[in-house]
Amino acid sequence: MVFKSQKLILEIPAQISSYRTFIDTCCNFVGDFEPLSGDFKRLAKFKLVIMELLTNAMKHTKAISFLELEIGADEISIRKIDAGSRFSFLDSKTGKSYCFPLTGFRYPTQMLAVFGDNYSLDILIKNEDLIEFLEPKEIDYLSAHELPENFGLMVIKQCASSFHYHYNVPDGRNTFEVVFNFK
Amino acid sequence: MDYSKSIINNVVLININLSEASLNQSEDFKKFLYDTTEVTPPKLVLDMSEIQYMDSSFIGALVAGLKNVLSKGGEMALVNVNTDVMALFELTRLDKVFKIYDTKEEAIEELK
Repeated sequence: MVFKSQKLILEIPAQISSYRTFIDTCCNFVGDFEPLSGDFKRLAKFKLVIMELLTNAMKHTKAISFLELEIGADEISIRKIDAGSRFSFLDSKTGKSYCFPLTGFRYPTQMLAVFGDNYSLDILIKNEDLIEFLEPKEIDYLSAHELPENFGLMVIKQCASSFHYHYNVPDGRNTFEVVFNFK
Repeated sequence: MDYSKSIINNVVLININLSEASLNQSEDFKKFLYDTTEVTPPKLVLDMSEIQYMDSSFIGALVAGLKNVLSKGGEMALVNVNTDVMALFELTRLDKVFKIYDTKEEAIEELK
């Protein structure tokens, strides 16, 4: 059987007044893809990912970005693409700051990366332009006062099968790619 | 108004009148929680029955509000959390941090 993929591209303005239109449009697009639309819990995670990518666009991009959805044979890919600021993080061990393209690593390298106050996540540096966000280890908040107040990347990773950030050097384009795999 | 409050049995009941709770409202809501000082120490019950969608920015505001309340020796509880929103609390493991009740009567009884 030859499978023909389908694609949806939405422009995300710098300011969104209502997320609902985006969520409904994305849900309608995947409406015939039974592995997702027929599973209430998976669909809830799909909606959360859409929301988090929209929030990420408004909070960090400060420019027009695009949401690209693609239905494959056994998976759904969601990409948030923009030409805004490059993604950056700190190494939790050294406190050193990194920005893309990354240099001075052996590939692959795993690291606990810090993104904000009390907010960290394991990443796998695959090459100088590509990192994968990894499943958090046991999440255990020792004290309420140490609770982070940012959760976006962690939520996306928790919802999806895989979650990558890619920086395209030639055109300065940032891509967050989220994949839901149903094999 | 996006938020309204009333005092019942020395507990402040806050109704969040938003269907979408996201980045657009998170800073204002954090300030609203910080400014809720009618009861000392603060005892807040947040009714979330209107919220259909919530993102991590708004949950961050809830965490900031909780930390502020706890630092003053108070308590904070959430009620009427729908299944999509509860999924967000479970993914972030914050369902183990917040006191979450089915009804506001139950929450007020626990906090009063």
